[in-house]
Amino acid sequence: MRVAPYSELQASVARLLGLDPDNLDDSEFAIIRDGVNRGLAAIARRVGALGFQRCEERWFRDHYVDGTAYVAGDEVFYPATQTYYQAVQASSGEPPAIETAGTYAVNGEYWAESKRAYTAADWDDAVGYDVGSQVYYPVTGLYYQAKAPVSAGTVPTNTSFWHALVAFDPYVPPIQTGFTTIGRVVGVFAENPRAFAGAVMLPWRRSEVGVQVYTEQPSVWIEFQVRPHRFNGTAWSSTATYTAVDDEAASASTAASGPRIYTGTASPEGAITANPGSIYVQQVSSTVTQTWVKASGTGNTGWIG
Amino acid sequence: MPSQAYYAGDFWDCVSDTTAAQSPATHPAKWSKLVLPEEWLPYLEEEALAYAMQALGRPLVEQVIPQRRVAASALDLLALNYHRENGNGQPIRVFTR
Repeated sequence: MRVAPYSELQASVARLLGLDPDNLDDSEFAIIRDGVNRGLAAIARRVGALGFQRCEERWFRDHYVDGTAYVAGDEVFYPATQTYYQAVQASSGEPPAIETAGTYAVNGEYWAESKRAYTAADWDDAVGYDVGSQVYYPVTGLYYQAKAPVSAGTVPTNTSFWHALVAFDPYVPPIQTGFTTIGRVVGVFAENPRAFAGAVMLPWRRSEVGVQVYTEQPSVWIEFQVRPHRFNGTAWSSTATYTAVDDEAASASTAASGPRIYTGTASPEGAITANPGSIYVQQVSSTVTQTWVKASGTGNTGWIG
Repeated sequence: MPSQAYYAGDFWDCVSDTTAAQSPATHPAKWSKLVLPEEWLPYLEEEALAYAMQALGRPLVEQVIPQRRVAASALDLLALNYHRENGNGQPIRVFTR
């Protein structure tokens, strides 16, 4: 599809009105912009899905990029193994898996395979553990991976040696670098539905973080409507900070002073800055979550669990 | 905080949070220029023109209403083209005696 920038349209309308496109005053600029927005709304109503629909293969996380600085907790997709990994400590230039004689093994000093659920034997205080070993620690209810050789008796909560594994949340974020922002989802498929008439539609649902997919596969095809265009920005300001556009589902909760939904594994008190009314879902363990509500203030305190 | 800005004649969506002074020119990875399908331009041009004529106080009967009709026709044509592109219509055939 060939596209054109807004500036081209604005210049054309201005000339037809007998105005100088390069010297529009604020009022003239706003009138043309509002007229274009009116037209876009009409297209959305009249043409609907036909004009705004896309179908793209999407991954749950960005691909691993060699040379990128990753920090503990970062999650990536590694195409060589078609697997997702989470960083157990900061690194750069350390691939998630290393090939030896045609077989890939997890680079356990820096990465752990991300799984929706983990299984491992209970931590044993009489045992020393090698790098990459995984244990279950009943005290916290969490699974851990050794990121360095661990001597016997070193508890998994010692972050110098262990990394708490986070259950993989299989969602496609609505905004990913290099992809179209996902608006309303029409369907999620195992293969390209435009190439294969019998493409299997997968179960999914929308959540506060993206499109949740329940089946086990590295990527999915999502057919969706792009966000209807609307031009509403004001002149860029060098003193202003801008926030990334959110998807249509979340946009209602991302107003400048509005509440938002956050997730994480640690307590939000003293750590998460949010507006009153925001909700924080803490994943305490693989089976236990705790919900917090931001009762007061716009800083990082005032959370009630 | 805003998520869209008008910069250098175009609108830009912020796709990654910025700090002060990070413009589409200095930090292009943080911005995405909003573009329009070319096939929409004929209609959008007519519609924006009709709206602007009225807003600028141009003569209603002589200019605004005729321009509205032109815009409505352009939207009809756009919708018809989409309809046909999706295999929903046959080309118009004209029979003569």
